[in-house]
Amino acid sequence: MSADRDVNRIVRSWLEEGVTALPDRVLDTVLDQLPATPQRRAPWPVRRLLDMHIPTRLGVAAAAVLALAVIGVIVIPRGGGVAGPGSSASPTPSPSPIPFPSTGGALAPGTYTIDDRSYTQATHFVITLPAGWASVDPFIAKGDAAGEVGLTTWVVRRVYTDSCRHTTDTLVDVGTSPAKLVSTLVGLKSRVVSTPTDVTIGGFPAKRLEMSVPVGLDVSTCLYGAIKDWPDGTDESGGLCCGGPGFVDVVYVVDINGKALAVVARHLPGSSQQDLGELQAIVDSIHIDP
Amino acid sequence: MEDVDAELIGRAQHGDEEAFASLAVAAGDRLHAVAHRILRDIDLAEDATQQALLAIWRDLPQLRDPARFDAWSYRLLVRACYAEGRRIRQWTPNLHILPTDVPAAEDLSSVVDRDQLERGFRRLSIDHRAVVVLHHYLDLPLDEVADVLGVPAGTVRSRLHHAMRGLRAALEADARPATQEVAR
Repeated sequence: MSADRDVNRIVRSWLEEGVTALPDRVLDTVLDQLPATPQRRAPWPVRRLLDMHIPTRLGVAAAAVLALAVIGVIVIPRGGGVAGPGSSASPTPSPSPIPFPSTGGALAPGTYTIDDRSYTQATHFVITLPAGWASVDPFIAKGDAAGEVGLTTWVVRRVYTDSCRHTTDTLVDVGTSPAKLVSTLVGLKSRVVSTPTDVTIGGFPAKRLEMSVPVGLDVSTCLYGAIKDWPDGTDESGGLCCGGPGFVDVVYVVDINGKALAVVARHLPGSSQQDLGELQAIVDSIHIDP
Repeated sequence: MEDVDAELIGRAQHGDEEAFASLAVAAGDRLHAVAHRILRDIDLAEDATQQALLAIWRDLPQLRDPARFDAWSYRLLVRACYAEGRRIRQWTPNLHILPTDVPAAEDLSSVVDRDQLERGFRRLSIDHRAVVVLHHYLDLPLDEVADVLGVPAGTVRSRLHHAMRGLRAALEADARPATQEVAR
């Protein structure tokens, strides 16, 4: 065998030989098994850009970048400087919050700011994150699929009246009113919603609701096999949805000068006490600069 | 990623079986081709492709960036190949069939090359085979191979070096008479 042979060329040529077409019977078998193969829902909702026209998508993407920056603000540690009205108890952000990154991935511990009003109803939304958290468009999360915890913000305009049958005809307009949003969430079908309690988030009055999935509800029988509470703006392919089995959303409806902002802290049955503690600390760290 | 694909992926992520069927038709051949080249067995490749497609359906809602669909699907395929590879060691006799559709113009040395490459390749682990196929068949750059396999780029370079050294050694081994069926 010649030592001068181009082994790479020979290997590439050899690899070109062989079958390429997948037999129809294999494909048929796969498709036949789909109804019996439940999809694993992402534990976090998706603000979906896919169905938008490209210019819109670019605009939203840019906004999301800003929103992420705002989220960074959200992460601002307690004791920071952006004081909300009447918020002596609110966390104080650090002097220089980090703009929330525009791409997903691990986040260094620190104080981050998200500066997109379309996601936060605020000029700056600041949070402080410990180590181990990641940005997940445009959310923050930690942990694996079984125990993930996370936080997101949402400016909610419409809510499905039935979180299992989340079709267009079940949407109701809630406007910008915090009270309307709270009352609509309390009345959600296919959700167990706790009695709202008064809290303070970022220095602003808020209602806290805990929303879980009713015992006995088979989520796989819901539309698209997922619980979904509200769409993403006018794009119904996105929205607050897709929690894993046994997930719980703690929703804070924050009243920012008369306009509602939903801050959602989600956890799963497998979430560790440490992660739950960190999630609560992040909520406590929120600073809102309207 | 074309918009039409992203739209299909989005629908399939929401449980639209027709959208997934279109995705599976589009991706099935390339996945099967890669599986066959890694596993070197048509039945195992079909099984691996079937398992990979079902895994894609099952986990698709967790794919956060549709633009990464191809790389993500290769990752699931390679995992399926690992599973099928374990069956190779357990059930497959040391027997392989040389291609019977070798072009007439090819000389004996080419046939011997194929035989020796086949032997050399089968001696590689699935880890090493995957790197060779992703890089030399799919033409993926090494950093993308690392991304698909979820290992550091240095590991990919090391595996590729080891694999190619093994294949080179196989090619440089003494030529043996080619037969249509070789039992080892």
